[in-house]
Amino acid sequence: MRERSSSTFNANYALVILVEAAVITALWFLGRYFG
Amino acid sequence: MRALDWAIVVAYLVWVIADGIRRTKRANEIEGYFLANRSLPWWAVGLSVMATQLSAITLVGTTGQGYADGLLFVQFYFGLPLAMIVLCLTVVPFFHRAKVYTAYEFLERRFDPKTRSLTSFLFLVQRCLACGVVISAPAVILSIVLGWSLTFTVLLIGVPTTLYTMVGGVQAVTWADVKQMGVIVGGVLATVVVLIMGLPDEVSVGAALQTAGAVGRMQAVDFTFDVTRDFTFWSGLIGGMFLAMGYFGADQSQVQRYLTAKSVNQARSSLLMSAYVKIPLQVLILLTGVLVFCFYLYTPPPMLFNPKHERVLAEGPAAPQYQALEGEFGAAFERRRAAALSAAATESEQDKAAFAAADADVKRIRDRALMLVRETTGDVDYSDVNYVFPTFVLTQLPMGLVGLMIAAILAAVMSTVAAELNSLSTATIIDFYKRHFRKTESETHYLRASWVATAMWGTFATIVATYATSLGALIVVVNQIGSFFYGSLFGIFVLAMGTTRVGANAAFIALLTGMATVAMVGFATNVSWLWQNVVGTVVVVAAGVLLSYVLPEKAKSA
Repeated sequence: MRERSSSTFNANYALVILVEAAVITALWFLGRYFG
Repeated sequence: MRALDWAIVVAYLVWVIADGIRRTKRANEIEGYFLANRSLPWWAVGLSVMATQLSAITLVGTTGQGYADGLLFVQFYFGLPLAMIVLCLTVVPFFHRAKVYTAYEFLERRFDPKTRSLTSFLFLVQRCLACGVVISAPAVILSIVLGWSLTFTVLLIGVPTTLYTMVGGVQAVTWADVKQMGVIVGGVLATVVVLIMGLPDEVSVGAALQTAGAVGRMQAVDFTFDVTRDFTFWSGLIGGMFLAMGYFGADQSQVQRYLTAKSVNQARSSLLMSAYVKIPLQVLILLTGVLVFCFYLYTPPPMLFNPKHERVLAEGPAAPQYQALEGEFGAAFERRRAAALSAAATESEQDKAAFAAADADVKRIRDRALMLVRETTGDVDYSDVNYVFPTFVLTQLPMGLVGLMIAAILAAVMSTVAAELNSLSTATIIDFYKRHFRKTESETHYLRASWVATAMWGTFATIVATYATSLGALIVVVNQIGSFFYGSLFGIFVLAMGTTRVGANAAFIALLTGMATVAMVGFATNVSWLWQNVVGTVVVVAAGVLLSYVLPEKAKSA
């Protein structure tokens, strides 16, 4: 199996940060909506 | 527990042990036994990383936290995804290319034998005592809730775990972890379904969560910057990031998981799985606790969740006070139930305020009952939060699902303990036995020694677990000391990988300086423990770099 290139991983790291930001924002809205 | 539940628990134990050993290949070689010949797929390693971190204390304690305080605890994990990115870019490629068995072996190549021996020794001491606590905490809860003897419960966890770890090595541990994660997530999801179905017909899930939100249970993010508070956005993001870097980057029980991956990129992918999944998984577990809170708004909860203390009060000299409190509690519960139904029906601010007042009444009465337990038993720190979820499981879940959830709690303990025993054995054999005592023995010799080391650590952890309850405060101190060195330990790896001019003596003194500073901050200030990890890393790196100018040495590359 071919190894993924480092650019694929760099995109993956950026995606991790985006997903985390989205999850934290969603949690914040959850608190506002149900609070 | 009924016959079907017992059958499920026994089937789970047999399945985990038998399949773990069956999947083990080439464990007659030391690299196969400790590192699976670096051949495991990323998804199995990723699930193993998560199963190792998710102990029964997490499963039972976090649902209890959700019940008592709501979602705020999730902030503790906010730094984890960022830590995973840092580790993917730094330690993962370093460890893989160095072909090491232990993280500490790398430190000898870069610095010297004393730095390796000290860090490995610190790991052994902290991890073996922590392993005892990881077994004992859920064993105490299960033994009380299920009416089993503590010794039986400890042995039920300790013996099978030691057995499959000893025979199958890291492969048995990893494949058992994969199944255990399945059992844990399956059990939690099934419980959530039962909880939702257990709400009254007129109360929707949204309305129940609105009611929980009226008493702060749905607030997950707190942007206050206060270093004395344990769980805020900033302590979770920054302190949690340093803690996760220390735990996943410098603790052999985690490093060994991703050393088994086929390649650097597969190891990276396994860590990124946690980066994506960990926070949602913790939200699910905390939300389960919040739903247990919602469930008990409409179904009478016990006033005390620990049945042992409930009996002590009901049958002891404080029985009249206890009975009076129970009467008050029953009436307060009915008032809260009515207020919760009104709040769920109208969702008006006025009804929510009335519900919050009724909930505060219930809490006040429960606090008085808890105070009565503290006075009667002399246990001043007593809290029954950790008993909420097991009591709910045992008294409210249908037959079959009780067995599945007990199996899930056992799975959570066993997956953590197995990885810890496996890593304790690896550090003992590779960093001490093979390094200092018997340098040129055969594979068979080291393999036998590894079996003996695993059995020895398993026995030791089981004994510590049996006596952990009577050790009391000592165990708390041990855990505090453990948390003192994570940041410092990660700092030494930063020096090893990120600098070229820092030599062995400077690094060694920097490590001691970092641990001493963290100990001072821990004892002399009220800075929250999450921030201590930041202090440890920063002090070790700063001290190491400064000392390299005072103690110039010829640096080695790893």
